[in-house]
Amino acid sequence: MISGQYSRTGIAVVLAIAGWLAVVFMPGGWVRAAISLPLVLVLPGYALLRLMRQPLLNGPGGACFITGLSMAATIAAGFLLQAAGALNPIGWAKVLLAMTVVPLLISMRLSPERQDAAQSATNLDAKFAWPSSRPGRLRLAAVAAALAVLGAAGAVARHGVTAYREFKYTELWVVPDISGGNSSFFAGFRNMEGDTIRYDLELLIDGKLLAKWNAIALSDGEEWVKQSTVPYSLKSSLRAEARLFRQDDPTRLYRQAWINLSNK
Amino acid sequence: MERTVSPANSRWRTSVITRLQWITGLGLQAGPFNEETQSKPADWGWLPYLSLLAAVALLCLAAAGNANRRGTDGAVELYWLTLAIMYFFFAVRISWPAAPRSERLALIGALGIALYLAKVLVSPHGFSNFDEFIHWTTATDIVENQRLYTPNALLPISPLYPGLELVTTALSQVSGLPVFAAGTVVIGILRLVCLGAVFAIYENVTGSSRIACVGCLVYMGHSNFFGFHSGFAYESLAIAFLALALLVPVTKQMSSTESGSLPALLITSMLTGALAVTHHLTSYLAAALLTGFALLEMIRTNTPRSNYRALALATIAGAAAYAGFHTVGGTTASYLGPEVEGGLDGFLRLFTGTAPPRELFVSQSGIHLPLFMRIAGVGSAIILCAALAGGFFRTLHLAGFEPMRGLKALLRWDNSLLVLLTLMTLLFPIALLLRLSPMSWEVGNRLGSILFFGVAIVTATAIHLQWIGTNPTRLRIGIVGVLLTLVFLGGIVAGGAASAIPSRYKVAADAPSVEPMGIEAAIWTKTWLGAHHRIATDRTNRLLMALYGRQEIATTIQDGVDTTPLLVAQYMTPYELDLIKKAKLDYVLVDLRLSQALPGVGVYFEKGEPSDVHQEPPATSALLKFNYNPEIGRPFDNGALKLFDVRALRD
Repeated sequence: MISGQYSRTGIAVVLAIAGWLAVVFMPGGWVRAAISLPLVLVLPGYALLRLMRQPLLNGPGGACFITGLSMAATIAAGFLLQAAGALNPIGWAKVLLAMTVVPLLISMRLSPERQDAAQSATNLDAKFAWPSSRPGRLRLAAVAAALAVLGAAGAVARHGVTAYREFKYTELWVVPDISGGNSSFFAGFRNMEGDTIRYDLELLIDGKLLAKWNAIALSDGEEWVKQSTVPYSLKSSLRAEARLFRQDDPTRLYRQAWINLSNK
Repeated sequence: MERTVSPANSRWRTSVITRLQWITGLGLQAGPFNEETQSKPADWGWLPYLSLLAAVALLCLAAAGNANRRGTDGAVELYWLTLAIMYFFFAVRISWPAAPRSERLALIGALGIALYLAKVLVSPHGFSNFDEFIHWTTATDIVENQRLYTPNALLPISPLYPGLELVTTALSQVSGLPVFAAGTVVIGILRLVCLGAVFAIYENVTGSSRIACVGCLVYMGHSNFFGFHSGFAYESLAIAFLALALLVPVTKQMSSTESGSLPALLITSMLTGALAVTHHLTSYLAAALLTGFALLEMIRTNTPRSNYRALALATIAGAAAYAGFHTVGGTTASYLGPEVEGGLDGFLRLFTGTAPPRELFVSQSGIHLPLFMRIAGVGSAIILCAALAGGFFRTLHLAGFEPMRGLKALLRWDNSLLVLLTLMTLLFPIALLLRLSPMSWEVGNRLGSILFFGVAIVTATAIHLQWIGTNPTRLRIGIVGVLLTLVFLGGIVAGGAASAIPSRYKVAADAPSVEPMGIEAAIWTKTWLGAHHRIATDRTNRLLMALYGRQEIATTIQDGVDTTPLLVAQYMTPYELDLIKKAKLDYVLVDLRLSQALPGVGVYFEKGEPSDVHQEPPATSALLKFNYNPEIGRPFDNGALKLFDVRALRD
């Protein structure tokens, strides 16, 4: 019994340290998530229940308490980190590691007899144990098929969102170039029409043509940006305007954007 | 003096009770309790096959969602029918007497997760509901700023209750996953925690895993289960904390042993403390429920230990709720007060005939439901009311309450939490009535989902003891499966979650209004203008600009300045120019699609906007009035969305 108790504590400590190491040394992603997830959602609650010597660690109620208390402990840790000005990945990893390891180490110092007594209460749930036998081949095949179909469902849903675009559009913009002084600006546009389109673009300053580009071909998702400068010094406010036309409908002003350039 | 009952008197009483029972099905006297006395051997049972069924159903849901996005006829019917079939088969197996406890429990978990994944598949790239955007923005603020309490103009109270955001950002930061992915994992785990806690409560108070599992099935039929509580919103975490706090006093290890008192207090302190910084209303409800439990315990027993423990639990929950309220202060009152007052006012006006009732069977986003969903909506209410009538006294009997034994027995029962849960159902008809008014609908919806803790167990008791009874034939269980499915679908209808299905763009309809063109425009502002500019815009684009654009949104609730007139006025008058100054605006984003239809959720901009604003769609000319002011620039145009630079008028 005692060795079992210690081995569970040991596993919890190892998992906590592995989670902390993953945060420190691994790049973010699902692998790191799998290693570090117990640090947030399992281990602090488990350690707290161990510290309270609660025989609650089996059954659905116990699992729920472990996760719920872990979340409660994580919230408390968040306020501590806020006070310490350390709400960052390393801060989280340190405090969650401490919230797991410290209670576990204290619980190991408690009298083993009482822990055994507490642990024996968990055997109340033994009659509701999970199946000990392995499922048959047909059932394993059903589980495997379920996982495969689930993956397919995810792929279909993601494809549905990305492949279907209800609105076809082109974005046009004119923005001042802050680093280039008051007289410099960017004009750009992006094709989101779902097909390659040829555009004509005119740039005007106070209604006078500054530059013109014809037959700019952009494929779907492609972007075109040009930096331009007003060729004379700014005396007061000037309007820099971009006018975009589609070559398949050249008489209609398709998009229009403008800004007021000022020497202030 | 000993009182004797003559045989004739006894026969007469039994006869009256039997006839009353036959007529009303009230269960004034307990029937046989058909719980399995011997545990069946643990077995995988139908779990693998039903998991496969659930996966196939999810695939069909994804395909139906895609079809509906393209406007294909019949997609909506296919979507809800698929969901109904999946739920039905799980319900039948879970209600089946031969199923072992472990299989039932696993099936409850599998069904809960499958229903959650159905929601995730609707928007697999990001959260899409209004409340989700609010909390997503708050969580993103925490990650980016590495501190709490960054103001969130979408809902100023959100950063003050950062429980969910803290758990999510903790997972996001230690895993390196984006906030959306971390939030999806957290809510999925919360779904399991909540169902597990509900199951454990029901099993502990009834002693029956079968009633507990059927109770969980009914619980899935509450109006927020499929929609709101699957979302990334603070109530999803709060409801799990509430369920766990209610589980503490009925957990045998903590209530039956002397050494369990201190841990029970510590665990309750942690849970209610976390709840107090997670969600205001649920925190107050936890305090109220634990106080109710304590009062019932004090009436039930003279044992000081039991009374002190129950009182201590209630005191802890009350202190936590008060501390939360006191810390946040007037923000909570000013947020909740108008909601509750408006709801009650709307309810009273409905019954005095001065306000029209809510249009039923139309989702918040204006989607009309198919016929079988309407039938489920009505059928669900009828089934639940019938089940409550049949299960009320049976559940009280399960709690050890036997009023037929005389007056003294009225104050005797064995299980106070079960009595409390049963008494809660008396408020359920009120919650149903509150749904009839558009103003009180939200109050009724929130109240109903809390009351479902009681409704579910009473309904499950009625199903188990009355409808299935001692003769669980296939036909009876099949009928029970159909009835449970109707309750589940009725919950979706009641919660207005019909917008859960992916659809074409709709004007101001929350999730159906979130689409790539608006998202790209918001991202453009962050890329080319930088973050933290003050922007006035409509309801949907506020969400996108706050989250994807990282802009500061002008809202009445945050700034006390209503910018609605600025956007919808036909001309720029000194009043509109003054609004630009008062709201300290940098930009105004206009969405010309607003001129195409009335708002799906009833408002174009925010709750409390002048009613004439949404009587008819705003004119395009009004939205484009900024074109004609020479001091206003228009740096961005994508056809539908036009961004106007009003800084020259602000300064």
